[in-house]
Amino acid sequence: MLIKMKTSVRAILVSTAGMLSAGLVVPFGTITAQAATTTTLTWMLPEDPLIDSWGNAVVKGFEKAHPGVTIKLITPGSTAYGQKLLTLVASNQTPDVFTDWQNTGVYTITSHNLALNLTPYLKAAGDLTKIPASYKTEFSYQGEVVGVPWNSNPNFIVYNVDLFKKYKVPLPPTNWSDKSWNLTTVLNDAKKLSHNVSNPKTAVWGALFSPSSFAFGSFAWLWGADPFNDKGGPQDSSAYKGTPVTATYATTSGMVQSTTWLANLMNKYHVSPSMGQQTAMSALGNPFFTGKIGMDVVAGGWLERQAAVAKPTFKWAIAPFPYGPKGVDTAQREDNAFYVSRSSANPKLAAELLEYAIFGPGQQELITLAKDNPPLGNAADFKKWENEVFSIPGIDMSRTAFTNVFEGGLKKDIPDPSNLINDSTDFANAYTQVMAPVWNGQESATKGLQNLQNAWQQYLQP
Amino acid sequence: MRVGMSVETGVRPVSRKRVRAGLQRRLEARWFLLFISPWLVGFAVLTVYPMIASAYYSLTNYSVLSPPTFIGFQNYTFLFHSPLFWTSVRVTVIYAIATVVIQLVLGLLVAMLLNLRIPGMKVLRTLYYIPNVLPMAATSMLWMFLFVPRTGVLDAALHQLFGINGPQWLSDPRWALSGLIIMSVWSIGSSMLIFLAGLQSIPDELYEAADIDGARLFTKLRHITLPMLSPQILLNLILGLIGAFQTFVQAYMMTDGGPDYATYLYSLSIYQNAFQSFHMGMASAEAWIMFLVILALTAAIFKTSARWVYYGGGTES
Repeated sequence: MLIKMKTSVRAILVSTAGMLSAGLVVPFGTITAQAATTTTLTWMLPEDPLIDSWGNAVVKGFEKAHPGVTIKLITPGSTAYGQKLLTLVASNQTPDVFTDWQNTGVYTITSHNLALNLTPYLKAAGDLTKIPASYKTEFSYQGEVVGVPWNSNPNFIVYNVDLFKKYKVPLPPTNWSDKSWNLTTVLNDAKKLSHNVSNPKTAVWGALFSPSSFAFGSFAWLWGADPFNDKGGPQDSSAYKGTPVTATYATTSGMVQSTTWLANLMNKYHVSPSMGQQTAMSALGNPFFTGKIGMDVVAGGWLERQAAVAKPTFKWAIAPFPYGPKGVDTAQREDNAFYVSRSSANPKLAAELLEYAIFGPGQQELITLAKDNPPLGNAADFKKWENEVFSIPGIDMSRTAFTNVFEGGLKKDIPDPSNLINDSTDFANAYTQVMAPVWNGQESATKGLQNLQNAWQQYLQP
Repeated sequence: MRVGMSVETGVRPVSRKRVRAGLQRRLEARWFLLFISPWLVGFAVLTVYPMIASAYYSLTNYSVLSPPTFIGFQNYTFLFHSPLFWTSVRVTVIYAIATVVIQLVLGLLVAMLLNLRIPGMKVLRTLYYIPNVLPMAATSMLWMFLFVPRTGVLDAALHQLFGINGPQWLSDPRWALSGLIIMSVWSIGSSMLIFLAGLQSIPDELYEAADIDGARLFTKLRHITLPMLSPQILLNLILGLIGAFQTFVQAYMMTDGGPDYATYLYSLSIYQNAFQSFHMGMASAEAWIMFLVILALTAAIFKTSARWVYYGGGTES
């Protein structure tokens, strides 16, 4: 009896072991077979409903066109993009294809040796010539193209047409060469537009030129100044061309005058909400959509990422950046490029994904799904994108005028210095912190800029 | 020869019972290790290893994007000579002192009120504790609206009650830290709960005896309540201090350390150095300085606690 039982137990054990090993072998066999044919690429995009829908469409299309290739799309929160990239790099998992976002610009990426030289891949695919010269320069390092732009947006003025008409203020021009559209006109218009500013509940402010948006450029440039050189505007700053920041010039007269002008909007003329009010209004979205702001400075991304979502209930239009006292109207342009990781195990395939997204079918999907304008100078694409913009409620200008303003900005503007300076965060953070008392009216522009100059010294790069 | 000893050796043979007990203990130890091993593995991987790694990184120039290079104590030297480091220390110390005092005083006061025997007390206790279970990110957003100049609830109350306009709370360097300190009132729930548990464990006889002796409310508070609550005060003091030194979300979400570094709390400084400025080595050094400071403060508090903490059954060894 006992022997019989032992035999049965042994039989059960043996058969179970057999079944288990068979069960194990089959999946492992399958995995091995799959591993031999499947290649996985990682692609990191900032989290955004429109951009991500585009990303998903590109992934689907690319995977279909490349059997055996799987794309893993990583979409960290828009404000956490830099952190996510940093942690992935630290854990040797740098995405095969990634973009620059926040203050992680082209020279930060190249100085840390993260990006692959794309010139050979672009040449082989015949795409090198499709990149406009200005972008080629912007995203090159030591003569080689390291990034390809997929997104480019100039700064411009957006204004509330209803308020302009209500207070009988002439509408701004749409021509970048109109020099009557200058800071004097802007200030006068802002004064006429401002009403009940002592009561935040009913106030209408003429202009919202949030100083935090101009950490380094734009307004100082209108005075022919720049904090990274003592000769002139941004064109004279080598820090914007890939060299380390070895000196700063925060206290030049142009810097002082531009800062004073901006601070006066809030503290002297009261045509702009105070910093506290700006912070509070911004917590719910762009303050311009409250309908209480006459003019605001925004970048092109505002159109698809904010206006299209907010669906303004008033009429609005866009105008060029105004001329400054030095007779220049240079503003900054927000550009983003895709890069292929230098450590990618599949650089050729990663470059193909980048090209598919920017030059291939992804280009059209960028317009229709992400509502973005591909920065490749293609007139047909621009028109298609313009149609998307003109479906945003409230837009009140002709298509020709819109084209003039937007394309004029793309041609004239200079890339955002925050995206150019190597490790610009230190400089940007110090600016935001140290200049706060100036915007609150507690310190003069001269004093604030002197403090800024002192604060920046510890961040100079060898 | 005593009974039970071996004839040859004179050594008492080990009884079967003791052998079984030894085996049982070893078996229990194995089971103990088996069951605790998930925690041990987690502790080793998620705590011990990062601590050792950060100690090493604190001695390196490490941007995360490039491999670390050993630089000895340069990060520490740089920090001790950096005005920004001392600004973050000053801001954090002020914040810690203010919030710990608020947590202790208000927490005790509210606990005493919630210890009264009146109808609906359970609901009130729950209401006071609710803010502690809310995510700090959501709470921070809420307080941003409360602090809106002129139209925010706080300013409206100041205007209604005292006829004054409040300051630019979060955008004025002179008021921003006060704003964050005021906000800490919101989270007195934890200390309140600990005090409440302590209050309920104080025997009624002590108060009855004091009543017979004619003791007044303040005398009872000073000579009965506070001494009997001293273990809870010690616990809240240490927890509050550690929590205050590690405060991050409020400063990150509401002020980003500004304006003019007025709310540049130490944890935010670590975060910015590590994840925004690519100075992971320096951030690791900052983290170690904070760890050692908290350790020293906790040790100092424990050392002095023998003098002022009373444990019902005698002093805690």
